[in-house]
Amino acid sequence: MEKNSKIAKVLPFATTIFLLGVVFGASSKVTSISDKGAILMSALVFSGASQFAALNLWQLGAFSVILSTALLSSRFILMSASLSLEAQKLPLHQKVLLAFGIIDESYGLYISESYEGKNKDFSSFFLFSFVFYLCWLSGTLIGVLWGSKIPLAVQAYLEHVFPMVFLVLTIMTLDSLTSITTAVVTVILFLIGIKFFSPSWLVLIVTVLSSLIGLFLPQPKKRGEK
Amino acid sequence: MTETGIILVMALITFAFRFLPLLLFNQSFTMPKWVERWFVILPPVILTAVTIQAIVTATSTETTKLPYLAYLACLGTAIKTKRLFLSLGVGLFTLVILNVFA
Repeated sequence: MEKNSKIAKVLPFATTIFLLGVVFGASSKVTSISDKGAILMSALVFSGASQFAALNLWQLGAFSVILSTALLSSRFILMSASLSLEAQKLPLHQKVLLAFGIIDESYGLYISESYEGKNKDFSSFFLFSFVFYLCWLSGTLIGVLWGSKIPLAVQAYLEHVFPMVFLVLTIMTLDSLTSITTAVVTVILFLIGIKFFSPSWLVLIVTVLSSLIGLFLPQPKKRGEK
Repeated sequence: MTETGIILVMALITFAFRFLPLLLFNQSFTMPKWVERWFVILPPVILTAVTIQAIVTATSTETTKLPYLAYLACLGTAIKTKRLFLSLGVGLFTLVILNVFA
């Protein structure tokens, strides 16, 4: 039962990550990035947002690509920080693996499971990130080789799968007055801020602001506490 | 800078951002209480921010507001059932229906 529930949770993400990997690989063909470069990027960077941004900025040069990577990856600092308490006892090599596997999807799934009280250690996280890494890398490889054959209609629906899955995962973590209030504040600040900042900066700004506001609200439950 | 050089710097930056907090907040570091509390508050906030950014990005190229109805259907199902596949299915099905009949 537990196994089936894990598969049911991983499947939408794994499928979408694979297909996005194919789109990334295919899109790299229209830039000056070589096939080997696209595959190397997926193998070493493993960050969809940074890699897609790099495709768009590649012709502007190294500085633009590196700056956008830093900007888009900045949210990983907060994700990693929020896992650091539980990760304190991990040996160094497992911390390295954990860090490499931190992406929005593995983090989201792990956190939502933690709120259900299911995670006693990081074994789920390692499983999620390993599956997603394989999907992303194999998707890129196939995209580089045969990506031009994906129908446009499929690509159009694909872009809505991630936001919807995240919407559900977010709802699963809202289990206290503090979490609901900070989530509402986050949405309001984001919608106000979008007029003034780029979405990437905004994620970082509103996350810090809303979570600091949350410090003044009643003590929330720790993940997994009933 | 060569193609491989740029990719290596990208890899280094993303990995450093993921790894350094895990390394810095180790067992020998006593975290202030408010920071511990902040780390408890952070996850739902991060997920909310990433979600709203993803929705804004995904709908930015749409010419109508119809996709928002699909997101509302997904949200409503998620609040009611807290089931991932069902909520995703309802959201995507609504999107397909809206695109067919709109």
